[in-house]
Amino acid sequence: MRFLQNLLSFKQPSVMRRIDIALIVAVIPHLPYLSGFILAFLFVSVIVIIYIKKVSKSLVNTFMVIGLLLIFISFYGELNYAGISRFSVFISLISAMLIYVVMLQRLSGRVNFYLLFSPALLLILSFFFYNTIPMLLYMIFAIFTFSTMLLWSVMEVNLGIVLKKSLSLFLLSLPIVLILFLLFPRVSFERASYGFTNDQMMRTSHDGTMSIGSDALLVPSQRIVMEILFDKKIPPASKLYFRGSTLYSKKAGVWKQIPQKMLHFKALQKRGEKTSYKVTLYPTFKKYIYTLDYSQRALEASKITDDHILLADKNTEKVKHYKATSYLDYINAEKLSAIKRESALDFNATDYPQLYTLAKALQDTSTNKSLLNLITYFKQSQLIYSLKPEIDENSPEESFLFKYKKGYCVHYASTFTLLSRALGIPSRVVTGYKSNREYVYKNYLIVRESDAHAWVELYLDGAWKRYDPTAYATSSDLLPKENQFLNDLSINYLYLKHIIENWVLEYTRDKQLNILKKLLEDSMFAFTFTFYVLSFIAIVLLAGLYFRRDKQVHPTQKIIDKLLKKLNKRGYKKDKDEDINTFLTAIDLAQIQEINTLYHKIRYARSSSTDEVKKLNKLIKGISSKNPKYP
Amino acid sequence: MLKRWRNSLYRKYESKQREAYERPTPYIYLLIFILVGLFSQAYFHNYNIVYLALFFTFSIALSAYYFGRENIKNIDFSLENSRVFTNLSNSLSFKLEPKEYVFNVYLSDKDETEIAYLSDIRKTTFSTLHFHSKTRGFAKLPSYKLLSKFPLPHQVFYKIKNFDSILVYPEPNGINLQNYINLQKEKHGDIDDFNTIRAFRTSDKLSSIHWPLYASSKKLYTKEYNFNEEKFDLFFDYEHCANDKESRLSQLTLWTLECERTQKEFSIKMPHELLQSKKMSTDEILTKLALF
Repeated sequence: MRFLQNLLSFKQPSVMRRIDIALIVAVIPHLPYLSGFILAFLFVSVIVIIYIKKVSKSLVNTFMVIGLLLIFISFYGELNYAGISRFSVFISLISAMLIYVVMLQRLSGRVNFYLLFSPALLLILSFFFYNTIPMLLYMIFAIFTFSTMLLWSVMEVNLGIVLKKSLSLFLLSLPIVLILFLLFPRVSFERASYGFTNDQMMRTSHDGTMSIGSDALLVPSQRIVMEILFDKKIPPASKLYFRGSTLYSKKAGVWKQIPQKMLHFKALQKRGEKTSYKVTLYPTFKKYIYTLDYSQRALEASKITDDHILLADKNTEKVKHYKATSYLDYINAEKLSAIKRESALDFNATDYPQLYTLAKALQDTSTNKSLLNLITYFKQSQLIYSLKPEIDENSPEESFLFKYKKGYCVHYASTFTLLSRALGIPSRVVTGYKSNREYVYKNYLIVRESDAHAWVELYLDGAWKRYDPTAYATSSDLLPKENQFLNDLSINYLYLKHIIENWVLEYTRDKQLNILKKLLEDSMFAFTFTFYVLSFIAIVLLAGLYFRRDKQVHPTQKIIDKLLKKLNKRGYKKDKDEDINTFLTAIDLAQIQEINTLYHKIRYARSSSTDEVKKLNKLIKGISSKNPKYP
Repeated sequence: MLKRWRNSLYRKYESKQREAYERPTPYIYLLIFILVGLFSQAYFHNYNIVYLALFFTFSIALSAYYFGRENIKNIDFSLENSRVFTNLSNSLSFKLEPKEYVFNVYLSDKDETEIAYLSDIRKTTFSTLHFHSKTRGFAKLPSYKLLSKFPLPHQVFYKIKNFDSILVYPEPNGINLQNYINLQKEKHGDIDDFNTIRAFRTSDKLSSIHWPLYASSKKLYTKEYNFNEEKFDLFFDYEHCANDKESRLSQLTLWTLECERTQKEFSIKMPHELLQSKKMSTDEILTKLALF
């Protein structure tokens, strides 16, 4: 508290100090992208600025030469047309050059227009590096700091007052920012693909194959793959299957796809009610676009396959945002081609003798009865869901079902598919993500890498139906979940982050037009929207005006308040209606009358000197707040 | 009538006080440069962070404009001592009364030569302005400007033209009042002449006691004078107080001011009217003299 008080009572610093503060704020986002040499140059320059008050011209010249040399070394090998034409190299070079020039100017100790302008230039340059929420918050902080420093240059007051003014200025500007943000016409260009933006880390995803042996896909990572914001309620967990790829043939322990027809639209029967949602897909470096079972239409820059798999024209190398609509209650009727039927029934009894024997035992008079027997067998086999199963490499499915009885989704799906085929039912493995609604907040759902899943589709009565054999596991050896409170906190944070990303960072021209269209068409939405916007503006304006108003407290008031406090402790209480003069005149204490006269002179005389204020302060300090002790 | 005229002068003053002007400072070029830079980056980069930075910069500059106006609007200013006389170096006290905390305000003349810089006003502040006029009556004060350089990108200022019609009184000059009174006494008899004596009353001055009589009779008697200064009403005649018009007005101004200082009642006989201190304030009498 005392530290804060001291901080707020900082007097107006010199122009150079104000520029230094702004420069520090502006340089920070550049630091991660500066080479070690440039960082060293920056560090040494700062040390020199701190310890040498007047830097000689020869030292500045030395820094000039060394700096140039370090930039050259840092970009050695990149300094060719191919290197510089890469935008990231170009921007890094500009950033290094700018910091180099600014430091030289700062070392010279002369304030000029370029030095004044440099913090703004550095900040603008840093926007090329990031398009993230931390950068958004930092940008707001930087602009606030810059405006505070500018205000401080015209206010010879302490930091507390200038911060109050700056905050007021900032709050009063917020309604204009909001209106401009909502209505300012955006360009319709695609997002610039340059810059070091966003989370580029690759997510482990499906690659159109599924291994069943010891190298089977197992991703226990909690890294987020998708964030989904449903327009309405989130469907139940039994419907949250995000489709990736369909696999038909199994060779050398690996399930693979077969060639697919590429379409724009794939019809469904009995589609039921549709569910719309917005997806943020993190980079997978694959073409798969995950949608809930079933999307029947290709999205922009993508195709839909015969098996309702959505494939983008390009790999997802940056965070992708798309809106999709799926039909959760459907009949996926299809007339199977000969090749597809053959692939979906591909089962070699000699490769799986135990499965073949079991299938023979489960075979019944009809396909449906045989299937029911199979499901019953799975349910009665006491299978355990385990992420660390023991598997025999030569016969993974048979060792899973008959020997170890432990496995995860791929083992269940692969075994179930093979047995279905042995029973004469065309079947295929489907890979994707299945959410158990563990990470849910309102209509916001998170899908993590650990939600990767495999299930089965069987061709029955002319349509593909989904079966999830993993659900037949009777127990699980998974450890109990982590702290629920932390989990809730994490989901709340992620939801807020998603909302900001969705409505601030990803507020595009389309969203802008959609809002305007909705405002014109939906009167209820228009009313709610206007109400919220106006409420926000009113609150912010009131807050801004509150901070703008300065109680005109005379400096001596604070000093005399200290005296009143001391006197109060000694038993002299001032009535509310009593003026200072009457109150002090009635007190018979040494120096009180002198204080009274001096206070009124400073307060009401046309001019007063700082010496008099100091004297008043000293006199009041001399008054004890304790009554003298008498023997 | 005169009061109405004075009120109208104040109203004029009040209304003009609200006419504020703005003009850019060199910082506006920095602002424009940043706005153009951000707009270009927003246009090509198409990232909302850049758009937001653009909107923040623009709206803070716009709010600053409002702040600038409010800053200067928070000051009430007036001329505290507005009695000015011909041929004298008059000091006018320019009073600045802040309603709130006010920052970075300049008081300058027409050519913007700084007269006073007030970085931080929390209480009523005075600045001295000097004014010289050779003629009486309404005279033009030089134009002043009250400028606010808070916040940076532009200045807000008031052209203080409302004191155009300041009234200049005649130069106070001539025989001083005491000499005039002495002259008057001579006309009414010697200062030591007295009509009669009466028994002493406790409220009587000691100087009025007839001491020789006390020495002989041992009783206190008070002298009744022919000329009683306290009861005597001063009467100034325009026609006879000096030789020419300006000298007469200067003489009357001097006496009026001296009477005001010594709190004496007086009357001035002007060619067509009688100005009486019992019925008019000093300022009203001076105004009559100034406009004569």
